[in-house]
Amino acid sequence: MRPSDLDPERWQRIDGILDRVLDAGADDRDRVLADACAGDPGLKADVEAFLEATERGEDRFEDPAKVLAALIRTSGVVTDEGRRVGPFRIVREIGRGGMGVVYLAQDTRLGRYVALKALPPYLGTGEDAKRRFEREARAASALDHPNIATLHEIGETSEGQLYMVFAFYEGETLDRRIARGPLPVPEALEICIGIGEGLSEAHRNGIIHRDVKPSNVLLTGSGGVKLLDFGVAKVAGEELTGDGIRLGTVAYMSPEHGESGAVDGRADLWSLGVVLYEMLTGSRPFTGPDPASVLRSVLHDEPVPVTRLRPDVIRAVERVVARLLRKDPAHRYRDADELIGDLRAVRAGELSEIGQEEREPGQAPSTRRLAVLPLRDGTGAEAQAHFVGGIHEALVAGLGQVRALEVLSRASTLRFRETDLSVMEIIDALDVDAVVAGSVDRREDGIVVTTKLVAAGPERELWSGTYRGRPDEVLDQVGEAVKAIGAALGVRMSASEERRIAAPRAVRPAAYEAFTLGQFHLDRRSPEGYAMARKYLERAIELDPEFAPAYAVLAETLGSAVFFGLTSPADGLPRVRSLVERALALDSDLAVAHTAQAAVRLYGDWDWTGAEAALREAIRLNPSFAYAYFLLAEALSVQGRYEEALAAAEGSTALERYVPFSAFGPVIVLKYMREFERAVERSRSGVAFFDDFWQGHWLLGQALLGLGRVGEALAACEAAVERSGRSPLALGTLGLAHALAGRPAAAMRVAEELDRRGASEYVGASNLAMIHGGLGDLDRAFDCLEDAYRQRDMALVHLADDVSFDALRPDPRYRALVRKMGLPEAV
Amino acid sequence: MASPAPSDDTTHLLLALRQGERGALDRLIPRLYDALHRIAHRELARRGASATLRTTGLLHEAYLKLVDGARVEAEDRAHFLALAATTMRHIIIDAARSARTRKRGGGWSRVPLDDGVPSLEARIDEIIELDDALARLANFDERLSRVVECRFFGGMTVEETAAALDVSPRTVDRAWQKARAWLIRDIDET
Repeated sequence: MRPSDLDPERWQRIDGILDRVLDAGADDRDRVLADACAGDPGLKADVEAFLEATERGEDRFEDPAKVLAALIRTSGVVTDEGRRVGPFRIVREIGRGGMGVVYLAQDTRLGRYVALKALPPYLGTGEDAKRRFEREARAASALDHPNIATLHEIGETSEGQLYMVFAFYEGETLDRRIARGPLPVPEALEICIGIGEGLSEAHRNGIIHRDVKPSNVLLTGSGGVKLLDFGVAKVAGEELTGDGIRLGTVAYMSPEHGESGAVDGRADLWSLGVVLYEMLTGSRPFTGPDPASVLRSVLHDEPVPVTRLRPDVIRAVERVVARLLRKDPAHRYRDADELIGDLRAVRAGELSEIGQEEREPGQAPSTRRLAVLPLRDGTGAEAQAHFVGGIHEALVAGLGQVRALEVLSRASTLRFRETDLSVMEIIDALDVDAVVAGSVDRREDGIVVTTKLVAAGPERELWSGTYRGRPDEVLDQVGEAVKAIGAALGVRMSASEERRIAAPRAVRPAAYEAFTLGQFHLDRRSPEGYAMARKYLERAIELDPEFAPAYAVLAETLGSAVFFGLTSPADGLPRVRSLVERALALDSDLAVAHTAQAAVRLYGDWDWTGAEAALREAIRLNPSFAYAYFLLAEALSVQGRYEEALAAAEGSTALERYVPFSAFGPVIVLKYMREFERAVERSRSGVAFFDDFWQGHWLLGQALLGLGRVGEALAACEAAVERSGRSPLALGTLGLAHALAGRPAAAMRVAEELDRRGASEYVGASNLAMIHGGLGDLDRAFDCLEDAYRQRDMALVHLADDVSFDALRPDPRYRALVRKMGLPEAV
Repeated sequence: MASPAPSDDTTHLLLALRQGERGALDRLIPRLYDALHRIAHRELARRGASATLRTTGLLHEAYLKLVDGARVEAEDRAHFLALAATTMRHIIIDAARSARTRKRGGGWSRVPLDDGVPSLEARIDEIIELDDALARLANFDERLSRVVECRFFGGMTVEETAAALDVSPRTVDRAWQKARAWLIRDIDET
């Protein structure tokens, strides 16, 4: 019983007894209590409940002023609307950040509205700090430029609180704009030019901003760009130490600022580079779980190139970003004006090769697009094809771990296995900066790998190397080659990259051979391929139970079988889960293991953000891993973050444009976005190129259904059914197309086939649900969806946005299920 | 912001309060609210980014600033502190509720509350919960709730509380234990 439910008389009695017991000495309490409650065990229990409670909850009675202090610190100075600060009347809060709270306020003297920024209380500490603040602010207030927010005045309240008063502009800050997704390239360039012009004016007047970041950039309604907060960072920076440094700020801080704190205008240019990168890609180039690791990344890592995350960015723009983000200020733009010149040229489309002529001799460009050509099999023995392929794959994977390199996937290069093209022609065809070519010979005493690195331009061999050794030293050899190739390209590798790449581990030759065979069969991406891959990979594990990549690739194999509806999630995913755990326990740096883990989280756990995190880790470990971008697009679109999803899918296409899977990534996202016109257009051209890829026809059919072009959709679905060997996924869409075309008998025949086959093989029940939904039998459709829910049918993760479930949308059961799955509410 | 009130005004109001002048209370409370707010901010400003506050210190400083000690008796001081304790309760709970509203997206913008103070959100919830329970206790046993206000929200000692409520220190001590048990049970058993 809650104490407030006691009746007053009862409480009176308890209260009296409590007084007596509490007054009694510790030894005496039991006796006093027993006497007072003699013959009334209920009363005794009531009293004891209170006595017992006197022992708990101490921490709830900690001094509440601590909470107050924390609240004041996070909410700034002025907490009440209608309060006054000097001659200003606070209207409402309009923003807040590390440097204080910003209010819309009215100047009671002039009647005009202003933005009043109250600095954190601790900035008022000490007369020296105040004088510095005043000096900085005075200098900043002298700046008069359309891209700099006008500072009207500064002041101090009677409590010693400092505040700044800016002109008030209607608009939104750039960080909020970016939160909605990457910006169109022309808009990003325009904003960058605006910020650059503001910086140029300030730098000419000897003022460094020191805190250029999206939350300090205001986009006004009329298309203007205003840079906020000049001078604040300098004063604040001197006061902030330790945990006062904030994640958001470190992410934009130049290496020299982070290292020595001594900066000039070029530090602002670095920060602007980070801002431009973020505008283009929606993500920051340097990240980490805490400020210290962000700073480490700023100091040592090369960012993932912009074009990798945003393929529609032309390379000229990428070069501007790269030059802004040069670690050594001497290699950045000399000043803001030089930058603006380049940006204007890019905008006008005059220059596509900006920065080329700036490259000093022997100095590498920021990022290199590289392909490793299939290695020539020097033995000529058919039986060794898989082994040569395995080494090829190891080179691709090793180079892929170098952030400054963009390495085309192995599959993208396979069509050059047998070709008459010259190396130069291949470089042109693949649009890369350089290729690695070579051969593998296998002899009695070991293996000989011969490799060379050839760059674009007049045929230039930059490096060549020959490695010999026993088969079980193969991985070591590859690590060496990767490092040497990186060095030949002038790429700076961080210590962690070197460590990952070097990680030599002897593997039993037979295990490695089985592994490369497994990889080879996985690449076929067919039901038979999966079965064979599984066999070889299990064999590899049996031969060498410590060989982490074998677990990871087996996990990917089994996961892919689930993905294509060959295995039920209930059968497949638990095994994938345990394989992933094993792989990660052996080697937590395996990108492919993190990708498989993401698939489990996405389709098995319905943990969208967990999946996203695993994929981001995979991409961090291997930024050239196309499949990770493909799955990232899935994980993001399930969360309704379509613009980012599309960028990720385009990323996978850019890495593997000759791999059908990756080539169709954007179509999948466009379908969920309900951009059916674009989806049809892209899938038509994809299908023309990859006619064998049944999923292409299937996606085309779905997109056509979205447009209501049922006749064409039927044809595309028929093609998919035929090419897939009657996959249930293709049949589901075919049945739906029949239903929508007014052919219920044909639709029912498909449903019956699925029903029948469900008895002996895995058939996702969502395929039946969509057919019954299309036929208008909603009760039956929802019964099937319930089955699908129990099966963890992977199509359900797109229940909220897949066109196939449109007929079910109006029904309340649909919304209930969407909610139950934790999906964003339907579009 | 308005400059601090001249101290003899507050002293006068405090004396008037003792003589039963009803309007005095209405004028004292806002004055205390402002003063305590100001002192809290100034303390934080003076003592740097990681400083925290102590309720006892805030109340005593408010007393020194607002009241002319020579003109009042010990009893007035105790009444002042009890009044300040009630005011502190309002200040803390107002701040906590407004932070929670902001956090939940009420008002104009959603803002993160957690920068630098990871457990703050939990503490905010706890303190609001406690305040709600205290309101129930006041309905049930007003005397106990007054003790909690003085001891918890005012950081007053047992002796100060006893003087303010005009009871023996021993009674305060027992009441404090009973009230805490009552509140904890009320919260835990809800």
